[in-house]
Amino acid sequence: MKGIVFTEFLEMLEEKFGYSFVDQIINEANLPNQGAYTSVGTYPHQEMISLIMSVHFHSQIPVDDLLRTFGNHLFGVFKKSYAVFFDKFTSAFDMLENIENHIHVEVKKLYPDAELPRFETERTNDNCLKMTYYSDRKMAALAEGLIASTLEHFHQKGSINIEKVENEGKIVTFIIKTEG
Amino acid sequence: MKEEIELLKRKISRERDARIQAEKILEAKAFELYETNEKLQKLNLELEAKVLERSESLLRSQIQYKLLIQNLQSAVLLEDENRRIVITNDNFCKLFNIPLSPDELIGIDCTTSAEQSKHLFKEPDKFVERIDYLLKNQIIEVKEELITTDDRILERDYLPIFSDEKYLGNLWLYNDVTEQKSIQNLIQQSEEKYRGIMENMELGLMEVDNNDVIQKVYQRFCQLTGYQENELLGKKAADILLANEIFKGLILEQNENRKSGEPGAYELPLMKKNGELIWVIISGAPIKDRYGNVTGSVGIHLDITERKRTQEALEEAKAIAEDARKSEKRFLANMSHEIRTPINAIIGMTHLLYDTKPNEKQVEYLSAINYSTDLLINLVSDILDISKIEAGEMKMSENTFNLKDLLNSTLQTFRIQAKTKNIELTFEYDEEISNEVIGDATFLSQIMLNLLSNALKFTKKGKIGIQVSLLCRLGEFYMTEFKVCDTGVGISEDEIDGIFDSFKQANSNIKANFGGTGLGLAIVKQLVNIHGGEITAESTVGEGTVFNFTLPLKDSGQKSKIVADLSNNISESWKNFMVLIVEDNEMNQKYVTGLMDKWGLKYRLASDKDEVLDLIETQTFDLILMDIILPDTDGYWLTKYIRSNEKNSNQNIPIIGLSATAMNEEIDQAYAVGMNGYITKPFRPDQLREALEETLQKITPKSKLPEVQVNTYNISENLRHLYGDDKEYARVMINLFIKTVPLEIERIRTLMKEKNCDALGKVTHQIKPSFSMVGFPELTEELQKIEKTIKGGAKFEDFSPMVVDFLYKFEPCITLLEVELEKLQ
Repeated sequence: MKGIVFTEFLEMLEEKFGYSFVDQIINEANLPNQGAYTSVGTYPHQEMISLIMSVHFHSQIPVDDLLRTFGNHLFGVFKKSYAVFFDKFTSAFDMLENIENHIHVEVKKLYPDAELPRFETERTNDNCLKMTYYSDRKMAALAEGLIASTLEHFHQKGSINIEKVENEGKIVTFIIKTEG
Repeated sequence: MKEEIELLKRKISRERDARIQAEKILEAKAFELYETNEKLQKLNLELEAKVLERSESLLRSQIQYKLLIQNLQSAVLLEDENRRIVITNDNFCKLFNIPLSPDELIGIDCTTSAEQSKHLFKEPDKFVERIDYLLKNQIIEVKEELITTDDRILERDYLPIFSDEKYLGNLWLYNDVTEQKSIQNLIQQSEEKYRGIMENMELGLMEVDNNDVIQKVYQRFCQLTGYQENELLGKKAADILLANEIFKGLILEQNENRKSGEPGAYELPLMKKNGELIWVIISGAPIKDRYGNVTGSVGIHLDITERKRTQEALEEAKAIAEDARKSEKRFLANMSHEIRTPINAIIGMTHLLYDTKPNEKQVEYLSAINYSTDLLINLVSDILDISKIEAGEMKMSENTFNLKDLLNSTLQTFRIQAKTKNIELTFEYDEEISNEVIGDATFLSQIMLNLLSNALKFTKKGKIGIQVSLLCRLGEFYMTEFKVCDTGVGISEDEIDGIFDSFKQANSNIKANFGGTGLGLAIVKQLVNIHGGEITAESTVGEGTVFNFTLPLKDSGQKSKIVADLSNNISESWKNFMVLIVEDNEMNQKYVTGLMDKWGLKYRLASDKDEVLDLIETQTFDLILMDIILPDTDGYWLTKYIRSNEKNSNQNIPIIGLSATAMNEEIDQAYAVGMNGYITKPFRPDQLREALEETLQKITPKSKLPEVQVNTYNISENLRHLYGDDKEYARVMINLFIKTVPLEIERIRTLMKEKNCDALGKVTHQIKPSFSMVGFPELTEELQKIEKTIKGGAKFEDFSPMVVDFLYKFEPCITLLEVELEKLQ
C-alpha cells in the first residue's frame, strides 16, 4: 500500500484529534517502523488495518464511517497534488467512468508497484451510474467517500446507494444517482 | 510538560525516520533515473543513426524511383490532389510537346493542361471531356485508346491514388502502341487467313482438352458430323462421336500419346448425328501452353468413307481372287498327285517285272512301258514346274550346302545311264569355293538335272560334264559360273535363240527323235533368273553344246566338310538296317516292299496312324519312309509326334517324306516338321536307292537286329526230330500253336505298351514251352531268358529290347509253320 495513504491517514487523525492521539494509536498498533511513514514509500496493507482498528477502538467511530471520512480527506489531497487529472473531466460520471481505464493507468505509470482496486461502470441512464468495486482489501467505504467527494467537486447533488455486497465486501456495487 | 516533550520527541523521531526512509527511496530513484537516462541517451543515438540510415535509403529510393520513372517507356504524369505535378518524365514532355524539362514541371498546375494539349488528338473535345469525367469519378481506367492527329495510337492508364480512402492525387500513363497494334493487326489478319483456309478445306478440326472434352469445333467438322457447334462443345468426344465401343481403347491410347506430346494418325468410324457411319482418318497433335504443358489435342478429320468403301471392295475382290488362285494351286497339286500315283505304280511294277525273269520279248515290252512312263512323268513334272513358276509360286529358299558334293552327286545320278551309253562324266571344280554356300540347293539340282539329262539325251558318244569356277567375290557372295557341256548333236545358230522359250524345241526333228515337252530349258532359265543369275548357250552343230550360267551364292563362312564320294561307298550291309514304311496305297506298298526285298533291307509296314504308333512304341528303326497323305492322319503330324516323343528310341530317326504332291509349301513343311529328306512320287528305284544310301551311310544300325537270320530256323528237321513219322500229331500241335500263340503274342504287344512287367512275366512263362513243341527251341530259350530277367526284378527298359527282339524273331514263324503244315498233308 502506497505511503501516501498512511501519511494522509495520520495527517487526518492529527488534524481531527491532535498528535497525542496519533502517538497513542501508533504505539498501540505495534507497528514495525514505529509509525514512521513517507508518502513515497510502500508498506504492508496489514499495517493500515492495524491503524484503522486501533482508531476505531479508541474513538468508537464505525470503521466504514472512518474510511468514508478518509476518502473525503484523500480526495482533497489528490485534487491538490494531481490537479492535471481533474481538469480533464467535465462531470462526476465522466470522471468515475475514467478511473479504471485512465486514472489508474496513469497511476500505474508513476507507481508500478501500486496495488489498486478495480472498477466497472455501467451508465443505466443519464442520471444513474452503476459502479462495482473489486478489491481484496475490502475498503469499499473509502471508495464511497471518494465518490461522494467527486460529486461534490463537480457541484452535483445526488445519492450513493450500495446495491449489493458480495464475497465479504470484496465486491461491492454502488448505484449513484444525480439530480437534474 | 514532560509528557508533551516526550510526545514531541517521538513525533520528531518519527518524522526523521520517515525522512531518512524517503531520502533512501529518493536516492535509489535518482540512481534509477540516472541509469534510465543513460539508456535513453544510448537509444537516442541509435535512433538518430537509424533515422539517418532511413533518410539516406529514402533518398536513394527516391532517386531510384525518379530514375525509374525517367526511364520508363511510358509517358508518366503524377499529380497531387490539387493537380500539381509531383513528377513526370521526358517521354511525357515529348509526347505533349512541352518545351520544359521534367524537373521544371514539378509543382505546375495541370488543371488547364488538357485544354492546352487537346489539339494533339483526333477528337480533341472528347479528350478533354474524358479527362474531366475520369477526375470526377476517380475510378481506375486502363488501356484506353487515343488516336493522335499524326495517326499514332496511344494507350492511357488512369490511376487515382488513395491512402486510407484519402485522395492523394492521380497517376497518368501514356504508351505509344502504334507498332504493337500494327503487329497485332498483322497477326490477326494472318490468323483470319488461316482460319479461312481451315474453314474452306475438306478437313474438320476439333480441339479437346486433356479429358477428351470438346473445346472448339470448326464449321467443316460440324458439317462432317451433322452436329451444331453448341451440341458438341463441352461433350466428351468419344461419348458423342464414337460409333463403336471397340474403338474407345484406341481413342484412350491416342489421348495418352497426346498427353506425352506425341502426334499420331489413325482411322476410325464416327457416328453422325443422324446415325450414319462415316470413316475418318484423324491426324492428332498435342496443344501446348507457353510453358510447354500439354493442355489438350487438336484432331484433323478427313472423311475417307468413300475410300474405305473402295478399299473394302478391293479387299473383298482380292480375297476372292486369292481364294481362286489357291483353289487353282490346290487343283494343280491334286492333279499332279492323281496323275503321279498311278504312274508311280506303273513304274514300280515295271521295275519289279524286270526281276521276274521275263523273256526277251517281254523285256522289250517292259522297256517300252518304262520309256513311256518316264516321258509321262517328266511331262507332268515339267508342266507342274512351269505352272508353279508362272503362278509366282516358285520361290527361292535359302539353305546352306556343300556345292561340290551337291554337283557331284547330281552328276552321279547319270552314272549308270552314262555307263550304258559309254559316255564319260567329267567334273571340274574350282577349289577357291572352299566354304559351304548359301543358296537354293533344290533349284540348283533341278537346273543341273535338267541340263545334264538334256546333255546325256543328245550325246551319243564322248563326254558330258560340269565345270564350276569362281568369277569373283562380290561382298559376301561367290559369283559362280557353271558350265554344263556335252559332245552331242549341237544346236544350229538360228535355233539357239528360241531354246529357252516354253514349249519350243530346237526343231521338230528333236521331238521325233528325242521326245520331251520342250519345257525343260524354259524351267532352267526361270530358275536361274529367280536365283539372280543369267544363262546362255553356245553350240556348234555336230560338236556339242555348252550351257553357261552364273549364280550368286552366299559365302556361309563355314568350311566344307569332306564327305566320302557316295558313288564309291555303297554299304553292303544293308541287311542290318530296319526300315519303317508308312504307306497306305497297296500298289505303292508292293512297289516299295519289293524294292526293299530286292536290296535286302528289313522293314515293317504300317498303313495307318495306330499301326505307326504301335510300331514306334515297340521297336527301334533306322529309317522311316513316310507317306504324307494317310487315311486318318498325315506324315507331318506323325513326324512331329515322333520328334517330340522324348522317351522313344525313334525320336531322332531319319525320316524321308514320300509324296505325290510336289508343291514348294509341302516340301518346306516337311523340313519344318523335322523330316530329313523328301522324295517326290513317282520315283525310280535308283532315286529311292540314292536317298537311302545317303541317309543310311551316315548312320550305323540302331535296330540291333538278331544276328541269326530269321529264315535260318531249322524247323523241318526239328519237327522230324520231335514227331518222327507221326505227322498227325505234328499237325495237331502246329494247328494248336497257330490257333493260340498269335493271340498271346498280341497280348504281349499290348502289355508292352502298358509296360506291365508282372503280366509280361506270366505270359512269357505260359507260352514258353509251346515254341519248342513246334520246332523253335531257340525261341523257348529266348523266352526263358526274358522270364528270368523279369523275375529278377529288372526294369521295363532293361528287358523291353529282348521282348522286341523276340517279337521280331516270331514274325516268320506262322508262315513257316503253315508251309510245314502243307508238307505234312
